[in-house]
Amino acid sequence: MSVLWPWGLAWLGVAGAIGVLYLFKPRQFRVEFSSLWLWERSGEEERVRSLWQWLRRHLLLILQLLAAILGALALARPAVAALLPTTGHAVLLVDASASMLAGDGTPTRLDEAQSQALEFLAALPSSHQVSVVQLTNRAEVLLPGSRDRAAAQEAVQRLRPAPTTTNLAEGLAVAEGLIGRARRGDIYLFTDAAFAVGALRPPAGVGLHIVPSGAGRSDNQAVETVHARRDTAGTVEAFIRVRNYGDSPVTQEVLVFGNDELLEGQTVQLDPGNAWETVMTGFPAGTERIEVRLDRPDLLPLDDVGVALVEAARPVRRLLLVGAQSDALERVLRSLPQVEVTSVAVEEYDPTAVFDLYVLDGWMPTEPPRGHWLLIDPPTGQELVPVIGALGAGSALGENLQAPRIAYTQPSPLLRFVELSGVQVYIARRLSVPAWAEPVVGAREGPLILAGYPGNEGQRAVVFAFELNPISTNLVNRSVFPVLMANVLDWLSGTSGTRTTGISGGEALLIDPLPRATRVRIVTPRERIYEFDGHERFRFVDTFAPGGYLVSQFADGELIAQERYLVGQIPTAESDLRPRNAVIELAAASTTVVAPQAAEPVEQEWWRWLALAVLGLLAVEWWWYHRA
Amino acid sequence: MPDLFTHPQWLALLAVAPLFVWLLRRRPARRSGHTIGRVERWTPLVPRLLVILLLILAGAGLKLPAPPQSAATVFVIDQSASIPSDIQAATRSWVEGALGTAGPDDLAAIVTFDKAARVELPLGKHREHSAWRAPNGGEGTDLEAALRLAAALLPPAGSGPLRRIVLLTDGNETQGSAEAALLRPELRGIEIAVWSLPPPLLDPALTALTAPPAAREGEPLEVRIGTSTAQEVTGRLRLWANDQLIADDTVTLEPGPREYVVTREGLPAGFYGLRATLEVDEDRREQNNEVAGFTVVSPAAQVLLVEGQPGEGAPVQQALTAAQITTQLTGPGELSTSTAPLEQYDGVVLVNVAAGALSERQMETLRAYVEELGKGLVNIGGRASYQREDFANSPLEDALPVSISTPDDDEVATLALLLVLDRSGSMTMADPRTDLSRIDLAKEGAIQAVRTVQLGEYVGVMAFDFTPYWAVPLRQLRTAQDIQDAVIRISLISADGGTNIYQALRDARLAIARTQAQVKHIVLLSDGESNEDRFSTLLSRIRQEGITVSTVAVGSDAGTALLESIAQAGQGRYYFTSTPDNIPQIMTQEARLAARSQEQERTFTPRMVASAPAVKGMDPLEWPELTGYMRVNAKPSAEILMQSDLGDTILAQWQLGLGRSVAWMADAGDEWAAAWRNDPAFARLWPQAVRWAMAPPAPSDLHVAIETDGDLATVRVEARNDDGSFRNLAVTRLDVVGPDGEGRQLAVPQVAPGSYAVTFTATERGPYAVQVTQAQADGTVIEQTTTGFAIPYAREYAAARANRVLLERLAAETGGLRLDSPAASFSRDTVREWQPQSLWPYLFAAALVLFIADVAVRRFRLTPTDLPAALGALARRVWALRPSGWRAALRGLSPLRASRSRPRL
Repeated sequence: MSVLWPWGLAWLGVAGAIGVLYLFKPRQFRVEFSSLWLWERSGEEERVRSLWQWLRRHLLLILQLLAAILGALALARPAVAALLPTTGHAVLLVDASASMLAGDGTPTRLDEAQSQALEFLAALPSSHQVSVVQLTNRAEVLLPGSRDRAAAQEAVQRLRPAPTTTNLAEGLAVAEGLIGRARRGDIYLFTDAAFAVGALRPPAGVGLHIVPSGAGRSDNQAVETVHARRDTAGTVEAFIRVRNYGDSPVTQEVLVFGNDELLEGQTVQLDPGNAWETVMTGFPAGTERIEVRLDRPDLLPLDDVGVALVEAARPVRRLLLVGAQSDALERVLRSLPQVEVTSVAVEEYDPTAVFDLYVLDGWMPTEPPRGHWLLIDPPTGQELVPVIGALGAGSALGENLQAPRIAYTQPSPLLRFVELSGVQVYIARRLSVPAWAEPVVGAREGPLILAGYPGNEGQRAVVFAFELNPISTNLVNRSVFPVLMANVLDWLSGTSGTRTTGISGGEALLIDPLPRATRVRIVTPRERIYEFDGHERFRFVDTFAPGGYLVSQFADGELIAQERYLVGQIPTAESDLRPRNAVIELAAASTTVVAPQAAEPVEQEWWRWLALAVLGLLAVEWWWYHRA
Repeated sequence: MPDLFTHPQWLALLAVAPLFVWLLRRRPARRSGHTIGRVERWTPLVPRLLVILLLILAGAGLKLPAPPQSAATVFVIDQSASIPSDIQAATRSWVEGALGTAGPDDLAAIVTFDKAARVELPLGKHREHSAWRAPNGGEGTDLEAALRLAAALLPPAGSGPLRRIVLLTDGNETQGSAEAALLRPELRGIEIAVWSLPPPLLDPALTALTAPPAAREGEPLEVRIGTSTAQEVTGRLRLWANDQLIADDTVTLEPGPREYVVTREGLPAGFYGLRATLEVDEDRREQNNEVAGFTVVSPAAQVLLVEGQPGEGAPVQQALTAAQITTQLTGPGELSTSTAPLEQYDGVVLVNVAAGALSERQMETLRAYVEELGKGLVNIGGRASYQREDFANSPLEDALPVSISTPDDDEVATLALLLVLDRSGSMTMADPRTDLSRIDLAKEGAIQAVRTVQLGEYVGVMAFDFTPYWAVPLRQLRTAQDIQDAVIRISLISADGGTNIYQALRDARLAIARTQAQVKHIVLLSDGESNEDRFSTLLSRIRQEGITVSTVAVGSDAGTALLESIAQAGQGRYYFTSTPDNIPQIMTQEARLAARSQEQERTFTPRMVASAPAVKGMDPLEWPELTGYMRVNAKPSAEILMQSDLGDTILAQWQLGLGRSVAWMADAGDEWAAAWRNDPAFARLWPQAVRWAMAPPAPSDLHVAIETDGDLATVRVEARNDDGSFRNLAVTRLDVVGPDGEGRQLAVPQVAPGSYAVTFTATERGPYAVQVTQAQADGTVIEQTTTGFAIPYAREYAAARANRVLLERLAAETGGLRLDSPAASFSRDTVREWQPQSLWPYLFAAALVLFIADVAVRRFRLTPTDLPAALGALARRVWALRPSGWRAALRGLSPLRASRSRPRL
């Protein structure tokens, strides 16, 4: 027996408080009697000192104290370490990938797998522990080891399909983790086996059992690829591939829509396993979305639609250039696409004005800007980027120091397509690398370009240790300079190569609103509308439906940016509905260690029993108080 | 209901509530002679029922949104091979310490990872863990996989506890992307707290090998090898190309990240897998002493050498040939007028080619050749090159980094040209062949001369008969409109009157002497005689003031002797023409000669002002002297590499559109750079300048991009037809040869218009050769290209320090902590969102508090009407708690004590 929260015993003070109440004289009422003769007798009785009579006199107090003490004990959470006999641990790994939506189950493969899992649970001995794991392109534990069959059934019913592939490797890793090292468990994989396992090895010492779902039919045709691009003439070109995953030839009607308007229809003959691919050209320049639909029904409707978005321009980024000392910098910034530059003198800087990006040329405000910022030639006297000296001839100290030579570069999105060979820095600040940043380009004597995250709100910052003019560096005359600055702005504004406008279904969309955005609206392909606060980054996860997701950003009601994100087709492997032998063989290769029956240590808490006892005591106390 | 209660069956106990009411009703209305009022009777029921209700709700496990009462923490421990065993042991101790600080409801799990993740301890109420599994020692770090597995172990969102992953790693991932993991839905709402492991061993290591993906035969191959070490160490650095040792150097590695450059020449065309190794004494790890890369060497570059005069390009040709750059000589007249024939050349070198010798179309082609085709142009000067009259505003000037530009207001002009024209009546005499009068031809000559002069220079036109007058006052030409105005004014000159050369020349001298031009030149044209004897004094002054005078005598009536003597005294040229139609040509020539102030002739040693590939490896102190050059201005975006003693540009380069060009203001060694011709600097300068300017070798128009992630490589091919349209439905094949020499062939499916991609496994460490072939359906090869990629040998061991920024970012993005002690692993200070929590402790505690009230109500027979009085009494008692109040209270107790001691009834 132990108490999980010893501090709960402090509630014994309640018993003390009740005792104190009894120290006070009960409230008296004035009652008139004709004679006090009868009361003399009662006084005599009170002087009797037998235990029963004492108990009878103080039973109310005793009951109340007992209730308070038990209540305090309950709050201290007494627990008993018990050993429950267990016969094993069954991990139900239920495949909920895209192929499980095929209609050759009851009615779908997933429905069938759920029924099978429920039947399995019903037949499982009560001494078995159960875990339920949903398997898509990730493994999600819906119920960790439990004997609660109702919870297990509820977990099975909570299974939801996702338009993704099957990540069996992760599923097995999670299942093995749930079983633990005692290896007293088995993994039951409810699946259609319609996925590739690659070089996966069966779990060691744990039994893997396949419970097949679906009839194993393969009649399915899929829009495997749709991709649209704007050609040199500005019109739109689309590449389309449709594949027949079935075992028999079919005739499919392929319908192509542009912005929801039927542009073309084509009847194609597809032999088993073969693909039909084509490039359709000359769609109108205003086409933003190409959608391909297959007209013939098959087992898996999910892959009968494919959507492509024509590459669109990025949102305009508003940039504030403060203290513009470098003509070269301002010229390049103004030449970059989708960048709107406002240039102000240092004394005109308004910290309350909101911009997406700030470029601070040789100056730093007391409080860093709210958005992402680029600092050129950090001034002395500020702590964010400590300046500890000078590098190169003509430094502020008048020293004739050797110019800093670029000694190393670190892999960074800032240096994408940037070749710094021959770039020289003649004069620079000597910086101490702050904790929030990493050097991207450095000299022996110190960093020359830094990048990092200076705040806790995800702001990004880049620092150039030198002025951007021909006196300080020849970088400004190099062809890489605009490329470097474009990379810097892309990284700062979150629109660099890591950003994507296309994801797979079920993945999260990272929405990084522009700093001036106050509200973000997302409209899904099914016309569901979501509204979000625009002041912080967030992940949007309702990406089940393939198609374009329109993300609009507003600043005080004014639309400031609009982008379409594409959730693409399901992975091609999921369109092939045939069970793979490799999955079956994987299960056959697994070995089960027959572990002896064992006891599982369980910590059983007693507070509910104590609560029940308190309720009983209160009932008795109430009866005693109100007895006739 | 199940979502609101964990044990809803407890709610059945609510059925006992009527029992309490029934018991209350059974109570007699009178007791001890006191009649119990209705309010007094029912008042105790309220606190009692509340106590019962709270206890039942507690037992039922009511869940309402509240700050999490517990934490579910998964410790994710980096056990990759790069983490030294002592640090791994310290990490395990740290986690064991953290488990000991867990609260009663806190859950914990442990995940370990290297290139794969595994569960060390499943989620549960663990307070200790000692039986650790031995690390796999995997050579890889997949942070993303570890985060995903940890997230899978955590209870689902909204289940109550604060969900946290405690990451114990150096953050140097070799596969996957932790940042990408943040986009996974399973990590949504999970905090990632980080404890940065101490930096791994800083033993000497090679971190990267960078070589140009494409080079040309004969070009020096520059291989950059990244190193890192904690302290200075000397070692042996070797470089292999296709298993052939091409460099073996003893190097001293400096502390920190550094790059060492190895340059080798003479690799014949072909694919080269590059491998660098480092050998040092006392190396604690050998795995990080090898890096790999690749380069593809194309056949030697081809350059078209255009020489102004035959033989002028010979020295340059010799230098280029010696550097294995193939050259083809041609003259300006043979230069193509379209870019297509030039495409076979990687660059064009002009040697003393006058812009006037090239047609507008040829120069436009050269500009497009550089700007649009991305090729190189090198213009080597000479007396014919960079001449104002034909170079200025030409497409050739557009293509080069130098120009004959308008000087600033405060800049001294180069030239002041004053044309002094005789407009006497005799000038009306017409040439019988052309029917043009002398004055007409003089005006035509003046107009052409003015047009020859560039903006920024001084120009004036004086017409004279007996008296001079300013047809065009002497002034600086600022704009094209100024030139146009001058032309109009010249055209208005009419002939009449006699001839007074002296007065005109005197006024001309006074005017031109006041200008700030470097060169002051007067051209005097006359067909008459002037009998003055004061010319000697005037000419003497003219000579003293550095003014030069040329004279043109028209016709036999002209005072040829006088004009000749003026020219002689004025250090100018004397012209005689009996045919007036020569006048324009003479005047234009004069203007050109005057403009030749561009030519700077003196002896000096150029100085280097910037280092660049063109002047790489050259010692400026060893440079020979130059004796002259053409004075031009570098364009604002040009990079000046060499300057004269006076700061004039000698060598400049720039990027124009897709291409590059270089301009040299001296000549190719015939005259001004004669000392250079046989100097090693000459042999080095021109190959380097030409190579810098040339486009990098591109064996085909296929753009191949290769990305690697762990053991996977993805090849993307972008293909376009010659007209720029997407090349679609081409049969695309990939031939890959791995480091072990094993070859395989892969089909590359099309994924988008003009775009093809394939992903394949590449498990062998080292360089891979990749050949992409595109063919038509019938097998006819359309295009083929060779490139490569490298799977690094020791990425796991390469990192010299913890990736703090990544760890900080993970923490910042997820609202997690940077942990400073194990105890913080289960802290709930970072709670931002309320979740449904079981509130039983609060409900139970509230029931206990109410129970006191329940007892008090019955003991003191309190009713709602007593509440104000009770509050007043309470207030008084609180007030009495003051020290003075205590003393008063004690004093007040004395009579009570006295009465208590009295005998009772």
